Amino acid sequence: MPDSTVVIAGAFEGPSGITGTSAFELFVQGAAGAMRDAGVSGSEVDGLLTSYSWEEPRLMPSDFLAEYLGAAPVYTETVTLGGAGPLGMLGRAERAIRSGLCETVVLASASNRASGLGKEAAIDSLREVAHPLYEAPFGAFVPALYALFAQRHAHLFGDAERSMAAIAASQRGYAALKPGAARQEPLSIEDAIASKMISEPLRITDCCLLTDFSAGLVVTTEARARERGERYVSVLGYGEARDFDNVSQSAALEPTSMAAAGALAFARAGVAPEEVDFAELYDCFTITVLLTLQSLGLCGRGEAPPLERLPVNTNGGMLSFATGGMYHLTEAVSQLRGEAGARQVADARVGVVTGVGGVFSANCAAVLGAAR
Amino acid sequence: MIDLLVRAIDPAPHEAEYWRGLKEERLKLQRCDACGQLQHYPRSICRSCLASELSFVDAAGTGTVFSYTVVRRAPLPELRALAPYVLALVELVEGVRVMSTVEADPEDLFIGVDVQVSFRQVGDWTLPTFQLTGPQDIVRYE
Repeated sequence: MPDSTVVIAGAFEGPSGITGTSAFELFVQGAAGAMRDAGVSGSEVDGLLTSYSWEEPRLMPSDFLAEYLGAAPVYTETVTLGGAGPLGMLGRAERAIRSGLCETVVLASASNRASGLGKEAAIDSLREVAHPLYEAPFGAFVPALYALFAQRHAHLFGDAERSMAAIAASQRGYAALKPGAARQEPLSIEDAIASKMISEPLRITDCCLLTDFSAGLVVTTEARARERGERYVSVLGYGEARDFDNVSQSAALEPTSMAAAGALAFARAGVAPEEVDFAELYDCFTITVLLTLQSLGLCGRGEAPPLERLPVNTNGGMLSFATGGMYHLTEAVSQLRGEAGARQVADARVGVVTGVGGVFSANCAAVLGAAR
Repeated sequence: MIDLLVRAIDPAPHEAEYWRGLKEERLKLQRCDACGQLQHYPRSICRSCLASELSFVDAAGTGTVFSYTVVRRAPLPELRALAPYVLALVELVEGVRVMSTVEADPEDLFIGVDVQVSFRQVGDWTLPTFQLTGPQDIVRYE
């Protein structure tokens, strides 16, 4: 049923690092780059979704971007799901296309948090992740809240220090092969374990970078994409779930709704977790990757990450390449198109991508497949 | 210590009794008049049955550490001044969880350790913090 298959027909990675560019311009570059890659002009765009910009808030950011790109979409939305925004946008684009509302949807995610806000202001804005009256007064900022998950995991299953360090080291190895990655110097497991402690048990190498980012995707029907060749990637299944917003309200202090999102995505794709060739998993912290691997069934509960048999975060991820959940999607597209260069996973046919908003609050998973 | 972290406590009407209770050194939990469900933080409605008639009951003030972290290095100036400090999620005996801190030597902390509430004056407000309960002769998790 080729006509009902939703595909990613264009992808683009704009500047990252410290760009000195306005956030809006980074949105423009991400969106326009993806449109050029897909060969679509503004007049063909009937849907446009963006992540929110805390650096440059506007009343209707998606509509401004649509106007700027010369588009007159029937559907726009600014998806405010934190780090899960890009995956959330993909899910919403897929639904809009499947329902017949749209045929060509542009997604853009960008931020100049490193060059525009600066490190301290950017971290300060993450304070909103905690409840202002019932959590924040006790110093509940982002690394500490993820550390509560990590400590609980260690309590139930044993120390995960080496598993987390292995994730950091493995991603650094991929970053060395990724042009433009922020951190490319080698990092061994021992280096990671010896790095400075931030919030026990999370060390500095367990924490992601803080960079600018800019990326875009074009999502359309397979029939439409085929007119322009075979450089598209199928959205085989998408799932999204949540069961709390503030960490104190989490029933188990485990990412149970990531498990639910993954189960939905795999079921809709008709793919089993063991069938994926690679995974691009949201990695604000190494513990996020470890718990996501377990939640998706890519390894067992409490087990070490299966990094020998499963390539994970093949561009270095947010730990070593750049901040921004959209880069997990663009990297998956590169892999499934066979365009990942030195990082290419052999015979990559199916990949899973995740996004996490808040502290395992909003959880999204997508199973993507190479063009058939 | 935590006074540095309190930016603007501005309780809504349905939260006022909770904050008054803290001033009297009583930790109060919200209880639904209709279905009996306990909840924390206080809300204007019951998260179980949506009833808007809710009362407050005194918590026993005892519980166990459900999870915790020792923050060794913090990214913001006011937090940096406090480090190392403990962030803890405490499970009260009533089954309700409270985000707080345990004022203890981090070396004495582990998940499951018994704690009891204490009260700390912060400007015009009082916040619930926790202390270890009694002598510690319990097997530690490693």
